[in-house]
Amino acid sequence: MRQTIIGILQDFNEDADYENEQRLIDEGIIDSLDLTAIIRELEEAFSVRIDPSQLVPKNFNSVDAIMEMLRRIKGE
Amino acid sequence: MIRNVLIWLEETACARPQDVAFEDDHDRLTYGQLLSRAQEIGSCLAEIIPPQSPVLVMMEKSPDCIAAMLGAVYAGCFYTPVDPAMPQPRLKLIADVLKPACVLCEERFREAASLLAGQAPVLVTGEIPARVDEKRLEDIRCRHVDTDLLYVLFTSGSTGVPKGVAITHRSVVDFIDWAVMTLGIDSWCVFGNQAPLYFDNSVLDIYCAIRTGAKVHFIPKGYFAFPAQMPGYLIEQGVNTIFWVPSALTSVGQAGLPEGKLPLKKILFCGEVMPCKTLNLWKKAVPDALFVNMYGPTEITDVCMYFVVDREFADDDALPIGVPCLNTRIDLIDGEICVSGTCLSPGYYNAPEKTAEVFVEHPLRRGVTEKMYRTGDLGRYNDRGEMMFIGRKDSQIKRHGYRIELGEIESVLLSLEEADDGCCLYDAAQEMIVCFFAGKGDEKQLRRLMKGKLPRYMLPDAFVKKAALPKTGNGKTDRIQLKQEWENEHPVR
Repeated sequence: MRQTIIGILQDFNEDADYENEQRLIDEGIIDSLDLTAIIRELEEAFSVRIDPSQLVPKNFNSVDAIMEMLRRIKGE
Repeated sequence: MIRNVLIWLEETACARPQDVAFEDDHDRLTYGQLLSRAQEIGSCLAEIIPPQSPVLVMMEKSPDCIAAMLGAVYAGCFYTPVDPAMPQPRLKLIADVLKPACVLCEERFREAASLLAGQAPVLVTGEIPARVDEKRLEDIRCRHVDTDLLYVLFTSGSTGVPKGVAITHRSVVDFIDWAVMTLGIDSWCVFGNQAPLYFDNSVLDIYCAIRTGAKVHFIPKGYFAFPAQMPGYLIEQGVNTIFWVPSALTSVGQAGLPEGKLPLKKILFCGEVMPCKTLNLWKKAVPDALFVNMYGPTEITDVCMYFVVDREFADDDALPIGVPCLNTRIDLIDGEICVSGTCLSPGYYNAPEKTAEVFVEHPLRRGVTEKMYRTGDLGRYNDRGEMMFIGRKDSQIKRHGYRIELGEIESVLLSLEEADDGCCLYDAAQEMIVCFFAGKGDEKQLRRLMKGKLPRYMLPDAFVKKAALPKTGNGKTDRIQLKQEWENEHPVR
């Protein structure tokens, strides 16, 4: 799951340390304008629907946070 | 009475100099400050360029950017705002059409601006002296005529070159007079601006404020990306008036709206079809607000038709676009919405052929010629005499409220070595632009290359590589087949 997420993010911004970065949104590494497209790719890759209420910065600030959010959605 | 938007600025600054005019999370300018700053910038510009010249404003959306735009107007010139983040090739296309006499920018964009300016000077806003040449500005004002251009805004062009829609002082004054009267704008309004300055929805926010002394707060883009945070932000900033594209209302609406807490009094929308489902979400949260649907291509000065929501609509109803604005004539000719009146642009800047294609002689006028603009939008009247939007005649689409000619994207695609053939289609149900191509490149490469040439809002959402694109009997790409294939493989969930 981790590698798929990193793969998707790299499509939009190649030069980032996705393994360690904890401030992907805060530092603008994930551009908010790319977010719609990133979400679409995540939804397709993991067969989930990311509800708008999940769109808060803390769910996207790190690869761990994204994984956690996806696990929560799948668990529901 | 001379019609010049600067007169509004001067009157408002005189009446309420301490009131905040424009602000964002970092800066603000009161009307008094805005006036001074605009006059300083105007004085500086007037020393180096003659009146009626184009000024390219390459700045991020901010109070100072508004001052720069108005500064160009003080110099008797007209402005074209561009997003500095837009890829250089596209900015170059715009500069090649506009041939700016000067480029105004912030320090950090100096180099990029120099590439666009050619022989023209680059004026960095931070270097402009705090000096007003009143005599010179007065001389310029005396020679103002209301058919002088106020701005040129560039929109997507189907052949790959953006088109610069020129708009005069006269039509903006007329439009804003209508807006203030019809929508009840006054100095108590606090606009939560969403529209970028290079989209004409921003014209309503900016000039309604300048006319009335209202305040414009530029909402940071992040709140649209993370819509769950928006309601809290609107409450915090006391935003009571919004003029947004329907997509923004949908995304914020779906993220959850607190009932009875939002300070919103006016919810205005324009730019694409407004789903009644979204309308109903907002009506539930702010039942007493004024809701107005508006319609208008850039070529008619922002808005030419409007519908005040005066009754209930089911989620799957279609919302009317309503009736003409003041001083505007709407004719349905062969099902196409055609517009005439003061609101019309004099045409596309430096593009007489493209202008002649859509600004035509009104077929129903006798004795004298009158211009009519063919919107390319199809409409029909409902039983109440309200206009309903049916669809487009061509391959122009709206995605998230942005006007996009699929032909422009295709043009860029075909200019790449990595693609031999290509075609774009729009999946409206999923709001996706899909790009089919054949050639030596792969999907990732194409995406990266297109990102270097097109503004973000025009980037395709999906790239599909094929060995070859299917053709119809006469050799054209079979778009219907591609669309069918796409819809079969990607059914709406």
